[in-house]
Amino acid sequence: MSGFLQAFVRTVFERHLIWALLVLLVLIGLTVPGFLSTRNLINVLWAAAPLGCVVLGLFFVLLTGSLDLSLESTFALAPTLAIMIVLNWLPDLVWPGLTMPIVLVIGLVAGMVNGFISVRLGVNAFLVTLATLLVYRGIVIFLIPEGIYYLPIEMTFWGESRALGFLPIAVIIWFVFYGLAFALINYHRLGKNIFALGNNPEAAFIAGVDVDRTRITCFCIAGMLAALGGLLEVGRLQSAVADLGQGDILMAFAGAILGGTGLAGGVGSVGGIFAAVLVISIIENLMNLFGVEPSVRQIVFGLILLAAIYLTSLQGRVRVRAA
Amino acid sequence: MLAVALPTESPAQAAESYRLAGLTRRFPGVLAVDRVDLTVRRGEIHGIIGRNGAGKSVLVSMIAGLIPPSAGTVLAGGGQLDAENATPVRAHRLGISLIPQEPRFARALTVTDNLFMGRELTVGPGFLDPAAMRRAVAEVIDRLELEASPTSRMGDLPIETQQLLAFGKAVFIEHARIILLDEITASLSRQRKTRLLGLLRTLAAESADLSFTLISHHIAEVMEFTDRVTVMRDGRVVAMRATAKTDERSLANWIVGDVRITGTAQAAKPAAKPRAAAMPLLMADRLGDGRDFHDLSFQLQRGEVIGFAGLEGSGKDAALEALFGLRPLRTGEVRLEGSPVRFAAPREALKAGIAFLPKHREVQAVIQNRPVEDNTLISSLRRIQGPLGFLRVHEGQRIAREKTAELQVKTPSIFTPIDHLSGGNKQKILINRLSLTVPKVFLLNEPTRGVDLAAKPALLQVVRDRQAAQSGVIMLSESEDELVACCDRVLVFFRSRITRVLERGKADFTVGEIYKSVQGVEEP
Repeated sequence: MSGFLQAFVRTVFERHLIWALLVLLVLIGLTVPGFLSTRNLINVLWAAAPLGCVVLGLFFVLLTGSLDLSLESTFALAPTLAIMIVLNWLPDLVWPGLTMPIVLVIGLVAGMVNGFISVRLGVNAFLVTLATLLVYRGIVIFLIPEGIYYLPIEMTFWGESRALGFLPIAVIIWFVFYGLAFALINYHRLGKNIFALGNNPEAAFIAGVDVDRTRITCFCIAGMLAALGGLLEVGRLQSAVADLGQGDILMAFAGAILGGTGLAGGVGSVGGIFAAVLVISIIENLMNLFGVEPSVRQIVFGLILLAAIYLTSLQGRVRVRAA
Repeated sequence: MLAVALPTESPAQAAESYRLAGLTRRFPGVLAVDRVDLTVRRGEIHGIIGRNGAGKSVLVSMIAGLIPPSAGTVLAGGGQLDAENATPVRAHRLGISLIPQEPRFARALTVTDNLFMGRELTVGPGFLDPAAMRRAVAEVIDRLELEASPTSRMGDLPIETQQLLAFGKAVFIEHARIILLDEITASLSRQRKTRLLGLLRTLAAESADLSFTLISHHIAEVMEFTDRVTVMRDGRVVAMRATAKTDERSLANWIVGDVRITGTAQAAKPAAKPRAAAMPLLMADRLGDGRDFHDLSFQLQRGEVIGFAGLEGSGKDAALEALFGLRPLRTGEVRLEGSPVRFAAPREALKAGIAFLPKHREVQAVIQNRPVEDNTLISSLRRIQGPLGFLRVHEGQRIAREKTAELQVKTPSIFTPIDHLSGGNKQKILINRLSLTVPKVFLLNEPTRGVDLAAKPALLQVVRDRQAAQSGVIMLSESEDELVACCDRVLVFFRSRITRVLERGKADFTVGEIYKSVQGVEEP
């Protein structure tokens, strides 16, 4: 029995330290009145959904050994363009219920632009996506400098409504997409190809993987997921503003890395980043519950994040020692 | 008048650059270098030649202090290296410098930075004197007739220039007296090689206290540029000759020695009987890439194993890569089962039924951090693909398990990361990866490279018995023994062309004959 316990503890430490961290935070939460209420827990999940989508998108790109800074701008660009199409440009032609597919397509195209330039034209992805980060954001600022409020329900539905009267649709969507991603990564050809090229692009190429196409596909997926996250956020806020998601890309990186995604490519798991997104969301929630002064919030958040990142970094070391 | 007893050197000692006395190196299970005695004179260019595994590299590594000897000493520059004290730093202090095959420079720094790294010229209290350093480097570049400037970024220069700079650094800047050149000529163009070796001659004549030791695979080079040559075989010195008094043929005979075929059970197995009447499985007609190989023609039948033999740079590797679509063909035509094929990328070749095992396993084939399962299946995911591209995972695991058991891969499970396995087991997994694509043709570049001695026969057995049973095989090997053991025919590449074809069953199908042709040794 103790042997089993030992093995369990070791597995947790070697592979799933982020889950241990999550449990720790929940335990801390238990001491705080109000944390365990259904209402609060749902709020935690709800707030996590948009970031969760961006992190998942970034995860795909990081697995290929690349990166995409522009996701936070795609996050704003896709819903903005969709709103403009539906409300201003083609109001008679497009039914507002089509907002979701339109957003996804725009996200896909935005990602494809990044993928095409960085993969096919061989330009450093950091620089390419830094440029598109500016361009995409610039388009949003140009189109809706003042923001748009009072959006029709068809647009805010995904981020705003609740199923069965309590469970936010956004949370369901978030779960569904993580489930899909899990299947794609572990049980689909695409996932196998991504891991192969992430760990050794030359070997993957020689083994017959279509390296370029797989890379571009990942950029497309990332754009789509960021766009989806944006739509959920727009719904939650019931408005679209020009600085929607601005600065969030760093938090997305934090989530991906905290969840065990390697920056060099080929290392990471969907479960890990899922837990990491929850960790980030719970930290924010606990700060709210503890009533941390807004003026020091960032300091506290930064310090907690630092501690969390240090703790999960132990994982790699434990594994090395065990090997 | 005082009679001072000066420590006198005997004439023999005065002429001596370095001396090896009973130098021995043992590795677990192998005696790599066995009691080598050797004296190299000042002003001499000394060649050390032998086949792969003869112990040349271990020998020079010991002289350079990189590997401590198990026994024996290196005497040089008034000091000695032995089992107790050998370090690279000490060897350096004795005036010994090894120019490795792959120069190790800081690629982002300039030529001057690299050449003076750690021994910068200074003026006053430790300030650098860049002008003086640049002048010195410009002189080195001049002397070596290189196309580079002192301020070039090292990483921008071609490998051969970097290698020559490493040589220039040792001779002109560090003023090493004993220069060891380890296969330095392998990556040099012919013209460069001749110029470099010519320079060695000039330098040796100019400063009488220098000596050069040239480790080489190439008999022709050793014949042309050395004063004396030492032949190694199985870790021992088997001959030492004045180069002028020997010839290529007798050197080749010393190098190959009494030829025995060892370790490979399939040597006795009769050759497969390819039906000459049948349409050739793979036919190459006057292939060339315009640079590394020309006029390559051959026919491969089902059930046949063809070997490509040749030195590094002979064009054999380039030819194999071109057949797989890894480099473009400029001339000629490839026909697979009669129809012309041309591949722009490996996946097209795989789809057409050609599988390729690359030479550099860790760089080109192994997918690190991933389990045995993924490494086995990556080229044949199509086989287990279900609706919408999702994989029938259990089917995949069953196949991976089956193949792993079939070749007796030693692994705790198919979920173990491939990194945990030995070279031989990794190679078996890669062979499984190839065979799962059910290819018509296997292209294998050094299938036993980096594999334990004990595991090699089993791998060759797989090539001979399993792969050749269903398909045709083209195999490259630096080991003539393996070619003789495994192949029905051996095509010898020499300077980008096929110079000889040896067939199993004929009297000249021997290790010695292949070796001589590979070296370009003329028939008497």
